[in-house]
Amino acid sequence: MNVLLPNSLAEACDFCAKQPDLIPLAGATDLLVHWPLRQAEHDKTYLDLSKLQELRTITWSANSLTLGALTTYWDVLQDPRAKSDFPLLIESARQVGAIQIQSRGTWAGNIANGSPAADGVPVLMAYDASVALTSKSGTRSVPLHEYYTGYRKSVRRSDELISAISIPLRRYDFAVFHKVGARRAQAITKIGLAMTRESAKPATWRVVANSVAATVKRCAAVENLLHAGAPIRKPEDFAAAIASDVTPIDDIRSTADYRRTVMARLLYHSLKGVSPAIS
Amino acid sequence: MIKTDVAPTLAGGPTLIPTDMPTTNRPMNMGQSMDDNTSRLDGVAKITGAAKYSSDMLLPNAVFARFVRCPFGAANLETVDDSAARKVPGVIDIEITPKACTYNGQPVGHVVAESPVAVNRALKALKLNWKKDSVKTSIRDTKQVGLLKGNAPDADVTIRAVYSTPVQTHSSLETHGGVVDHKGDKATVYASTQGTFSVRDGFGDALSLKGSDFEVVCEYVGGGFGSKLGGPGKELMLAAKLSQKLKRPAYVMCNRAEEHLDTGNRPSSVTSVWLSLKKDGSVVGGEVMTYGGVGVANGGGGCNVPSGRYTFANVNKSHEDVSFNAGGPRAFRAPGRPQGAFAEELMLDEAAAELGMDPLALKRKLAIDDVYREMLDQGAKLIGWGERKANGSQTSVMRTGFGVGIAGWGSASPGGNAEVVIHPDGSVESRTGTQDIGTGQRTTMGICTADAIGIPLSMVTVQIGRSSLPPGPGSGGSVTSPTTAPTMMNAATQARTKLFEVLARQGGDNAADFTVKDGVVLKRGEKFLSWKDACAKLPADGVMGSASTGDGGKGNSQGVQFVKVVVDCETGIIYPKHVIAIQSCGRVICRKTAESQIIGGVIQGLSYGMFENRILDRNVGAMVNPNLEWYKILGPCEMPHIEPVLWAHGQTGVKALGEPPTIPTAGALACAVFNAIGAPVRHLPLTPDKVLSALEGARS
Repeated sequence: MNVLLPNSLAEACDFCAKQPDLIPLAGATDLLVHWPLRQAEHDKTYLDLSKLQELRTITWSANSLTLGALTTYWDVLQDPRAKSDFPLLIESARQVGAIQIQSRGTWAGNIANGSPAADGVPVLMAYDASVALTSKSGTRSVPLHEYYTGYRKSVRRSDELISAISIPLRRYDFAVFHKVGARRAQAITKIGLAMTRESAKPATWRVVANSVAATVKRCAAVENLLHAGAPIRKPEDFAAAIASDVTPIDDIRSTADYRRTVMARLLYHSLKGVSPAIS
Repeated sequence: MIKTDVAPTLAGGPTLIPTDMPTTNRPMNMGQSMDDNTSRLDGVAKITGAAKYSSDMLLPNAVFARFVRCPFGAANLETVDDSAARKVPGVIDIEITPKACTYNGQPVGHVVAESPVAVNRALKALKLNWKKDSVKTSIRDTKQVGLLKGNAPDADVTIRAVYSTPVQTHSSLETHGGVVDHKGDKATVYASTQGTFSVRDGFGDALSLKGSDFEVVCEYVGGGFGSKLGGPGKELMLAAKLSQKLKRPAYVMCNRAEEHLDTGNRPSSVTSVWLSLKKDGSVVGGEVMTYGGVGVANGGGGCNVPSGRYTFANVNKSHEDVSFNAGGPRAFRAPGRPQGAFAEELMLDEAAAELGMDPLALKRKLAIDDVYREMLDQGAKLIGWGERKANGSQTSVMRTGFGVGIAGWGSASPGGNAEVVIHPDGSVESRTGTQDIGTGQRTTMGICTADAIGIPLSMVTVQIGRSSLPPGPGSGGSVTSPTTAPTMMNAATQARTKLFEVLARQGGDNAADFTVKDGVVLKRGEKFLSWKDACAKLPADGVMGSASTGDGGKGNSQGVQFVKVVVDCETGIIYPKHVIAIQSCGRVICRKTAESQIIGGVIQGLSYGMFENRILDRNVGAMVNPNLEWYKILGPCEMPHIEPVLWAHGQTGVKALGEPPTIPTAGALACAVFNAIGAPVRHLPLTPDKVLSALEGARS
C-alpha cells in the first residue's frame, strides 16, 4: 500500500488535487476491519490525515457546535457539554463498536465512508448538521441530508476533504436514538432510527433511518405524516410512509421484512404519547 | 445456610469433612472442595502475555506457510499459474495440485515463504482457474423432512413437529496449527492440541524421527472444545514436512476464516418427531427421525434424542447422516447432545402446553431418577418458577418466560500417568504430560498434590503439556480431571509415604507414625519437623511417587438448568436475564475453576441458542460469514446473571464437568421463549426475525 502523510490541511488538499483516486484516512477503523478480506484495497493510495491535529477540535460557538474532521467518538463522549446539548451524539457514540473503535473512529470518517449502516450519521442528520468540504479552491458547506447521492456515493469531489461538521444549536423537546443489532454491542445495525423535534413554532420533525436504504436516509414521508398530525393508532399506520421512504434489503444481518416491521414499531412506540395524534 | 449432604472422597486422599462454606452464590449439598478460591496458577502469565502459546512461537529463522484452499463448495481446479506468486519477494516454494474439490476451504496445496506477509501476497498473486460445479449446502437440499405420521392408539395427546439446529463452527481463540522445529536428528513440536501424546504418536513418518527424538510441547492451549483432538492435523503435518525438508522452524497456523471452514464443527441437525402422551403426562409412544448434516464427512452427525434422561415408552428412533458440500464435523463439547436436548426439551414443553400441564411438572414426572427431581425442585425455587405465567398469556411488549432443561454425562477414565517428586529443599514437583486446554489443569494438578501431601499449594510446581513427561489422556469426553486427579493424588501419596519411610529409617520409627498437616510434619500427632527440615533428610535426588491409576470413584454427572428471559415482542430480541445451572460433578478440586467451567458451558449454550450459525451461499457453497464479525458469538452485554450451583449427590471421585453444562442451555432457552411469547421457535438460532414470525403465526 502507498500512504501519503501531509503536514497540513493545505498540503492534504494539494495531494487531493494532484491524485483524484486518493482515499482519505482518519481512524481507519473500517479499513482495518476489512483489510484481510479486501485484498484489492491493498494496492490503493491512502492519504493519512493523522498528523493534522488542527482538525481534532470541538468548538462551541453561540450558534453551533463544530467538530473538526479528526474528532473521534471518544472526544465527544468526554466533552462536558455534549451530553446536555446533543444527547443523541452521546447515545450513538456509545454504541459504535467498543472503546477501542470509539477512540479511533471519527465522525467525519463515518460520514465519508458512506456506509448505510453508519451509526454516527443518523444523529448528526437529525440535528441538521452540515459538512464543510475543503479543497484548494476553498470551503463549501453542504447539509448532511443532501450529502449522499447513492450507495457509498456523495457530493464530495475527489479534490475535496471533509474538514469539519457543523451542528446548529437549537432547542429540541424530543430526541431519540434506537439501534437494533444482533447484539447490544459490537454489532452492525440492522435498523437504526434517530428522531428530533425542534421546539420552535411550528415544530420541525427530523426522522432519519439507517440500514434500510442505500444511504442513511432522512424519511420525508414519515416527517410529513408527523407534521400533518395524521392520526396514528398502530405501528402499521406508518407502513405506507415507510414504504415511500426506505428500500431495505435481505442481507446477512437481517431481512427487508424484519427491517420494515421493526422500523414501524420503533416509530410507533417512540412517538406514542409524544404527539396527540399518536396514541 | 444449606447443610451439606454426601461428601465424596478420593481414595488415597485425606479424610474430607463436609462443612458449610462461605460463598457468594449457592453451593448445594456440596462436599468440601479441596480448594475454594485459588485463582489459576498461570492466570497472571496468561493475562500479561508471559505464557507462550504455540501461536506465539515465532522462532528465529522460521518459515511460514498457509494452505491454498478451494473458494467454492464444489469446483475443479483446472489450471494453476503461479508465476507471479513465485516472484513475490520472500516466497520459498509453492506446491499446488489441480484436483476436484468438494467443500469451501479444502486444501489443494500450500505456499511457504520467509514471512506471513509474503505468504499472503503470494496467495493473492496466484491465478487459479476454477470450474464451479453445482452444490448442496444443507440437509434439506437432499432430504425432504416433513411431519411424521402415526400416533399411539391409547394417547390423549399427540404432538408432531420438526426441529432444526445450525452448524456451529469452532471458534477457539487460538486457531489450529503449530510450529515444528526440525534440527536434523532432533525436533521440537509446538502444538495447539488437546492430545499431547496423540500428536506425538500421530506423525508416522512425517518427521523421520523416533518418538524419543522429538518432543511435543503445548504448555498453553487457547481452547479446543473437541476440535484439537486426534493427532497432529493437517497443519502440523505440513509444518513437519516443511521443517524436515528445509531444516528450519516451520510455522503453520490457520487464520480465522480457515478456522471456520476446515477445522470441524458441531453438525447441523433436523429432528422430526411425533410423541403421544396420556393426560397424566406419561409418554406412551412415538417416533423420532433425526438427520445430521455432516458436510463432506460420512458420519459424525449424531443427534442425541431421545436422550435417555426422560422415560419414553415405545418411542422408536432412527438416524441418518446427510452429506453435502461443506467442511465436516469434529467433536464439539458434548457432541450430539445440545442439538438433541434442544428438540427434546422444546417438544416436551409443547406437549405440556397441549396437556395443559406445567412443563416442570411434566419433566419432573418423566425424569429418570430422583436426583433430577431434587435438582428440578431446588432449581425451581432459585429461579422463581412460581412467577411463571401460562404460555402466551402475556400481552405486554416485554414478556417474561421461564424454561428448564436437564443434562447427563457418563463416567470414563482412560488411564494416565503421573509423578510427584519431593526434593531435599522442600519443593515439590508434580508432573503429567496432559495439556491444559483452558480449563485449569495446571491448577488442579497442583491442588491435588498439595492436598494429598498436606502442604500449601505454593510449595508445588506443576509441569504439564510435554510429551517428555508421564503420558496422560487427551482432553476429550470430559475425562481429563477424572483421570488425572486420582492418579496425581495417588502419586503424591506415594511420594509422601517414601518421605515418611526415610524419616522412619533415620529415627527408628514406623512410617505410619508420620503425617503432614499445613506444611508441618507430625510424629504420632505431635509436631516433629518443619516440612523443609524433614525434606532436608532426603537423598540428593529426593523421592518420587508415580502412579498410573487412581480410584475414580463411582457415579455420573447430572445437571439441570433454568433460564429466565425477557422477550421484546416489538423487535423480537431475546434478553436472557438469569440462569440457574445446577451440576453434580462429584468431588470438587477447585471450586473457582469448577464454577468457571459451568459458567462457560452456559455461555456457549446461550451463544449456540441465540447467535451462532454457519451460513453457506446456496449458489456456490462458500461460507459467507467466515469471521467473528458476521459469525456472531454471545457478547458480554447479552450475558445474564449465571449462577452455578455445585451439587454432590452420591458420586465419589472427580466427575465430568466440561461437557454437561452446555447440553441443556439452548433447549431451556427455547422453552423460556415459548413460555414468554406463546409460540414455539423450532429452529435455532433464535433470531429476532424468527421470534416475530412465531408471534405472527400465533396471532393468526
